[in-house]
Amino acid sequence: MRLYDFPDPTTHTAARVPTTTPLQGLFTLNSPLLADQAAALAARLGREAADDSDRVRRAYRLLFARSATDDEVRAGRAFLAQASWQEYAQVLLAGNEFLFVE
Amino acid sequence: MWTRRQMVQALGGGLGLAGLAGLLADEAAAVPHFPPRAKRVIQLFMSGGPFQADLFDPKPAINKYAGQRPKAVELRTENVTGGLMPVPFAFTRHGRSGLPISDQLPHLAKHADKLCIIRSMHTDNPNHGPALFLMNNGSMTPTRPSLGAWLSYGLGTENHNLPSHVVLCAGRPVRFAELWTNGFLPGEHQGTYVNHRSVDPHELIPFLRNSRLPPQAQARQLALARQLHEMHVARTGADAALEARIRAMETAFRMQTTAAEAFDVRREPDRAQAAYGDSPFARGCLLARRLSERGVRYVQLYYGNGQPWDTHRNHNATTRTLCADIDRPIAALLADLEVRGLLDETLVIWGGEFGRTPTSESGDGRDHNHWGFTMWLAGGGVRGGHAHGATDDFGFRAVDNKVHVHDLHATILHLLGLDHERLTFRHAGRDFRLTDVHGHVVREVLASGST
Repeated sequence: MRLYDFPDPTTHTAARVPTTTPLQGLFTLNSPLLADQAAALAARLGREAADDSDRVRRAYRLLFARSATDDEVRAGRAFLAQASWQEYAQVLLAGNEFLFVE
Repeated sequence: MWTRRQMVQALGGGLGLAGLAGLLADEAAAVPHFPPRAKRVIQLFMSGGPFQADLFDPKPAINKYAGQRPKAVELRTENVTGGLMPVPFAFTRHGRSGLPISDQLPHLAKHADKLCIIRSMHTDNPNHGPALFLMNNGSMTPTRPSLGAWLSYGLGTENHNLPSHVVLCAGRPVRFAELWTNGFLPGEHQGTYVNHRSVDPHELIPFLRNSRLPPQAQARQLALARQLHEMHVARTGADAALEARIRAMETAFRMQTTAAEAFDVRREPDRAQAAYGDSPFARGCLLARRLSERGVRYVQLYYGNGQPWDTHRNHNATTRTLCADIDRPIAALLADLEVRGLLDETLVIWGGEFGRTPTSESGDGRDHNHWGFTMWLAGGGVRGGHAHGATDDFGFRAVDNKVHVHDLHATILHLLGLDHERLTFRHAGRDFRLTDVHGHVVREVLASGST
């Protein structure tokens, strides 16, 4: 919680002061929480879609409630040629679109 | 290759172009306006406000008129105060300069000839919140960027593997993250706060290691993240907050290798650790030196949790304890910077958000004093062995060559090669700067031969 600007409980705080520091980046890259969530997402994608393109598209539907663009599918598949689904899922979970509301 | 600042100014300060994000990612460190004397800052923040006449501004009249309330002390402060409370500490002159320094700081006193003691500081409000914001952010009301953020914005970082703006505290300073906010400046200039109570860098910096993925795999992840980010920007336009986040992740990746080393004071030789001492503040000073010499532009070290110098009660005993705790570490820091040839390019700043009253509060304490207080500078481009300005006979109000916090900020920026009137950022329809529409460089504190 402290990493994400837990406000001083002795004063009134209208909103947490948003911070964007490398410490949060480290959490995103290395925390067991993100790793476990990514593993769970990877497993779910494996169950819910048949091939890599379908899995990428399913991921975008689940996480971002939209269709993946062709560029995004291509980028995902190129990445997956060298890395695991868990690593891919972690990138999507770590991404700005997941954490910021537009 | 343009600097980011030049690019942003050329485009009217906005970040509305797709593809700009890619350019921003490649920019070199920003350039000062004129040759700087100092390249880095270490600020030692005595949260709560020390009493100037205990330490650097001797006032024998306080003891002479002890218990009385002469007309000069009828100044409104936060609380009601009583008569003049005597100072139980003695002053001795030190160094070639003969500057008088308190017997409570015998080790620091040996460095008298390095210190530029500003006795005529003053600020606008005697409450902690507004005073902290004014000292840190140049404005009593929050949301303005902090000094560290402006320096990071103006000068960039010297070491891309570490944050440019680091805040250390063995605890939580009052008001917390607002004090090192980036405000409306790009997010990467926000201070990275580290509670340095532990010595193990893996406790100071959580999640520094990944037990499952090697660095090459992470580098691939970051490349994909950056690629997806640029696709997003191409579709929806650049956004400063999103850019800040991905940059923070990229810095985090690089920090994995450098931070474990940089934040580990145990790697210092035994005699270095012994010279500073073993308290949290001592380790903080050593940590500040390590980070600064590795290119961290601005390190702000808060003395301790909360506001320890805020001695409304039991002032004398607490002051003795606090001085005993800061004396050797600060002396060691100055000696260490000097021996490493770093002192000439490092600006060291000491002080709190305000001072304290010569009159007593509740019989044994001192109240906040925004009318007059002491800060000192040392190192890069500063005139050592010098006292600037003066308070009245009782050390209450600054009266000669007064230095407002805005003036201090203008001077700090000047020492780092920045014109405080030219370091601006367009926001909400106008140009903003740390000193807003105020501040003058105090030329008398600059070493002769400086610009």
